[in-house]
Amino acid sequence: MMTDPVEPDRASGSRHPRFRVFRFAALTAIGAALLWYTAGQVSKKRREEAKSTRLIARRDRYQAKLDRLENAAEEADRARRIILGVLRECRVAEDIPQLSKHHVVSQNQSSRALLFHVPSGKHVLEIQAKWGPSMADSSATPKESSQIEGARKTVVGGEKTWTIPLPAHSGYRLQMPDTRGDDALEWRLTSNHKDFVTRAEDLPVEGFRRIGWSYGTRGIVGFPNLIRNVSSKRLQAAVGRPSGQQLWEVTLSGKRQDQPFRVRYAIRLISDCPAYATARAVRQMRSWMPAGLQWDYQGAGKYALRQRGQNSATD
Amino acid sequence: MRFSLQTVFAITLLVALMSLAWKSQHANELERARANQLQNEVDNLEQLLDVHHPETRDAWLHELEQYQAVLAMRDIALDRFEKLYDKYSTLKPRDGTTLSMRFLPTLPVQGGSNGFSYRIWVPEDRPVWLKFGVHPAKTSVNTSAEADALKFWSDSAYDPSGPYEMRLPAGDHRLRILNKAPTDVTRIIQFELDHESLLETSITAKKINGGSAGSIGGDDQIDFPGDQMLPWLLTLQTGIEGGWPDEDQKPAISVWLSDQPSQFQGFPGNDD
Repeated sequence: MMTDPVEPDRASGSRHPRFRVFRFAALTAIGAALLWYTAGQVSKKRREEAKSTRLIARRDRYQAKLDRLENAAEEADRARRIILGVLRECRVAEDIPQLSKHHVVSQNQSSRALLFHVPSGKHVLEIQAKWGPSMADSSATPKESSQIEGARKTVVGGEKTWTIPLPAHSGYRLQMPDTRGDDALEWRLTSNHKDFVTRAEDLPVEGFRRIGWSYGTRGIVGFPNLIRNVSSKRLQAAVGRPSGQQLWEVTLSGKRQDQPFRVRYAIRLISDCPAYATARAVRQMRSWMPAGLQWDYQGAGKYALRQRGQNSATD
Repeated sequence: MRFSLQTVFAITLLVALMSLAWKSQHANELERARANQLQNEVDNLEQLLDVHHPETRDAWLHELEQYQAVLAMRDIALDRFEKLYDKYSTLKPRDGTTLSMRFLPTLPVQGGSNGFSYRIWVPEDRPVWLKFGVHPAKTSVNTSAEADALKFWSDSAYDPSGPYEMRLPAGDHRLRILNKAPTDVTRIIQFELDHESLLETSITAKKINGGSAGSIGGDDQIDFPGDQMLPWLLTLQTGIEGGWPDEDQKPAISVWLSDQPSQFQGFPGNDD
C-alpha cells in the first residue's frame, strides 16, 4: 500500500511550529502580565503600609494629647475637692490663702459662714435679705403678711439689699446670724485684705427665734461671670452684660411672735469683667459661635467673650 | 489531547503566577482597608483636637492649662492647710482635773467625706471613758449625760453595733473618725485612736444617700474643769434613698466622753 505516509506528529504539527510559537508567546505574555500585575499590587501595598505607618504615628501623637488631657481633667476634679475642703477649714478670713488671680473660689461652712476668694478685677458682693411670715409648711418662700388668712395686718415682711465693694485678690468670710435666742439677725463680712473694713449689718426684725435652716452646699471653683456650654443666643446676650453669679443662699426658719417666720439670704458676686468660659467649654461651643463675637485667650484656660474688633481691656 | 511536559510545566507556572497575583491583590486590599480605618481614626482624633482650625489648634494646650491652674491652686491650698493644722491643733494642758480638747482641721479623704478629728488632753486625776453606741436617731444627744442615759442597740443596721467603751489613759490623744463610701450601698465608719484602729463599723442599704452629722466644734481650745461634765463629741446618721422604712428603727451613732463607765464591752480594735 503506497499511500502518502501521514506524518503523524510533524503533520499535525505542520502548523505546530507556529502554533507552538504562538502558544509560547501567549503563555509568556499572560505570565508577564501576571507578574507585572503582582508587582503592581506589591508596590501599592508597600505604599499603603508606609501610609499606615505614618497614620499610626499621627494617631499615637493625638491619642497621647487626649490621654494627657483626660488625666489632667481627672486630677483637677480631685484637686477641686481638696481646694474646697481646705477653704472649709479656714476659721477666719486671715486663714484664706491667695489662691489664684483668675478664679473665684467659694465654699460654705454648714449654715455658719461663707468663705470665698475673689480674683483680680473689680468685684462687688451683693447680699439680699428677704424676711416675712411664712406658711406653716416650710416649702413656701417668704410671703407678705397680707397672704396670711385672718392675720393681724402688721407688716413684718420686707427686704433689703447691700452691695459691698471687694478689693481684688483677697479672701473673705461672711458670717451668718447664729440665732439661738433673740439675737439680732446680723451678718458680718471680714477680709484678709489689709484695707478692708469689717462690715456688719442687721435686719430690722426683732424677736426672731430660729428653729431650722436650709442652705446651699455647692462649692465653686471657676472664673467670674462664667459661661458654661450655652446656646448662641445666650452667648450674644452675655457679651458686655455679664450677670454675676450666685455664691450662696441660706434660709432661716423659725418663729416670731409665735408666728412661723422666715428669713432668706441670697449672696451674689457681681464682677466688672467680661464673661469668661473655660477652654473646654469654648471648644464645645465653637460650632455655633455667633459671627460678631470672638474668644480672647487670657491664660490659665480662661477665654474672654468679646465683640469682634473690640480691644481687649486690661483686666 | 496529549500534553507535553513543557505544557504541563507552563500551565503549572501560570497557575502559580495567578495565585501569586491573587494573593498579592488580597494582601493589598487588606492593607488598604487597614490604612482606611487608620485614616478614620486619625480624622476623628483631629476633629476632637480641632487641628484644622487655625484659631483652635492650640485649644488643647489651653485646656491643659485650665487643669494645671486648678492643680496649682490645690498645691497652694495644701500648703496652707499644713499651717492651719499647726495653728488649730495646739493644746495647753490646764490642771490635774481639767480635760482640754480641740476640734482639728481635716481634709477630704479619697472616696469619703472630711471626717472628724479631735485632740484630747486627759488629765492625771480624772477618769475619762470614751464611749460609742448605736441608738434611735430620733433621740437627740447633745451632752454626755444625755448620751449616758440612752438605751443602746447591740443589734442594728450598723455592724458591729457595740456599745463599746474604754478608759482613756492620761495624756495627749488624737481621735479620728472617718466616714468612707467605698460603694453606693455601703458606708464604713472608722474610729482611730492615736493612729491605731479602734473600731470599723459598716452599714449596707439599697442605696445610701448622704446623711448628717453633728459634732462639738469650736475654733479654740475648750476646757472642761473638774466640776463640769465631760463633752459629747459626735452623732452621725446615714441617709437612705427614699428614707428609712420605719423612722423608729433609724439608727444613729454617738461618740462621747464620760466620767464613769457603763459596763460596755471593750472596743474590738484591729481584730476582725
